[in-house]
Amino acid sequence: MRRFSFLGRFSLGLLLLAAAVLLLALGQRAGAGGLRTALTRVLTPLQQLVAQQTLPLRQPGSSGAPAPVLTQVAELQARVSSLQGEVTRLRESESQRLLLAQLLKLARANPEYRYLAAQVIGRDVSPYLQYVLVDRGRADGLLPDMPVLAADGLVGIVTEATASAAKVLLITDPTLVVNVRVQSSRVEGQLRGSGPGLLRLDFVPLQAELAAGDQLVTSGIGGKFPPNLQAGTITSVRRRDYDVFQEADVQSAINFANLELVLIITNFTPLDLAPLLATPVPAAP
Amino acid sequence: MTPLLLGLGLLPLAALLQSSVLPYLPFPALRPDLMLVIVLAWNLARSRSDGLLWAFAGGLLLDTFSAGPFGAMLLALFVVSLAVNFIGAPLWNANPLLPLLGTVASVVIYHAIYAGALLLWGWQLDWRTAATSVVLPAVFLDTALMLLAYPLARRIARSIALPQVSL
Repeated sequence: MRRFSFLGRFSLGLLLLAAAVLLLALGQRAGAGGLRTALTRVLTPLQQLVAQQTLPLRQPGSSGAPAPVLTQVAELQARVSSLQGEVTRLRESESQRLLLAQLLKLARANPEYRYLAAQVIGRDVSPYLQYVLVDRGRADGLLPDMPVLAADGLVGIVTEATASAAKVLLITDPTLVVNVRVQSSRVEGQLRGSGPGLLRLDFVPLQAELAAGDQLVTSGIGGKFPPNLQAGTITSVRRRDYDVFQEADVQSAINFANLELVLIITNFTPLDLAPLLATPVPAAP
Repeated sequence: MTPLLLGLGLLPLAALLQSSVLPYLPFPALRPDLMLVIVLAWNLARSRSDGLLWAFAGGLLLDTFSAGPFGAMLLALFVVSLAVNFIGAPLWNANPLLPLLGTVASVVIYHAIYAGALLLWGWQLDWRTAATSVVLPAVFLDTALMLLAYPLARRIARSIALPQVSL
């Protein structure tokens, strides 16, 4: 019996291992992609619920410390807790109002774009990937490649969208490159993530003047992002005489660990420059 | 309660917590691999086929909440769970330090397989940053969490195990 049980477990282990390898090999193709979409459809409402219920966790100042309970009278305790609940709700509303006011200010500063506000409902479970999940999807008009902003500047880009949710790749991820310009000197370079919450400016010619405190904005080059969106501030510059380029550490004004609300620009169409960048093949003699 | 029903309730909850709650705790850099710890604890405590099903379901759930290649977390979680499961609960129970050593090794292997899968699929990783800011904290956090999870899993496993009758 024990031997049979071991054999059964061994077969099950091999079968599931083969299934895992197959799913990884299929990647985003029909079968695996369909499974992920189906699971996302089921789990997104649950995730939205959990995100709503744990909202005070994301705003440490808003939950408020409970007042010391000075009396043991049950009625008073109930009253205190009821009032505390009310205070928490009001502080929560105030935080939300401030956030929305900041986003509105940003939207008014760039009236040429149409915006869609979305709530961040989760982060990528992988510690290596810098993504967040938002509660808007294709049903709301969201499409991949749409730029995502917060009140303090550029957040990232939509990479995937289901009917009711979307994944946003943050600018702190090393795979996302943003073409930027130093606002004061007009020098251009490339901004790239270099770890959780960290950014690095690269490909800036050695002769260009860079200094800590310089503000970076998107340059619009490459057509992936609209120009003049705030991207960060230079904190330190590394310049070596033997290098071709200099690099700089950049701090975004956005606290990526506590993102709550974002704005998605829905009427910006990224340019497809690929055909123009193809290397021409010389004609055979 | 059967192990499968328990997993059905516990694993989605772990995935939701890992995605929507843990990153917002006061120290966002400290993100334990909650699903890995739960699945490992179950496989350490009870070397049965349900542990393998937990690993498979847990991996699928993690991949659903990730933008990485689908199946990468599943493969990493399943391989370490399979190894832990086949080594067998009697060996893990022989010495209180063994489950902790097993956890340390499993966390390192889990991250190595996952990072390898990411690289294979064309993702960029800075190995030094990954080792110092992801794997090392994860080893300490996950092992610390296992100090709670393993005894709890053993207790639950013992309470739902069928009584052995010998004639």
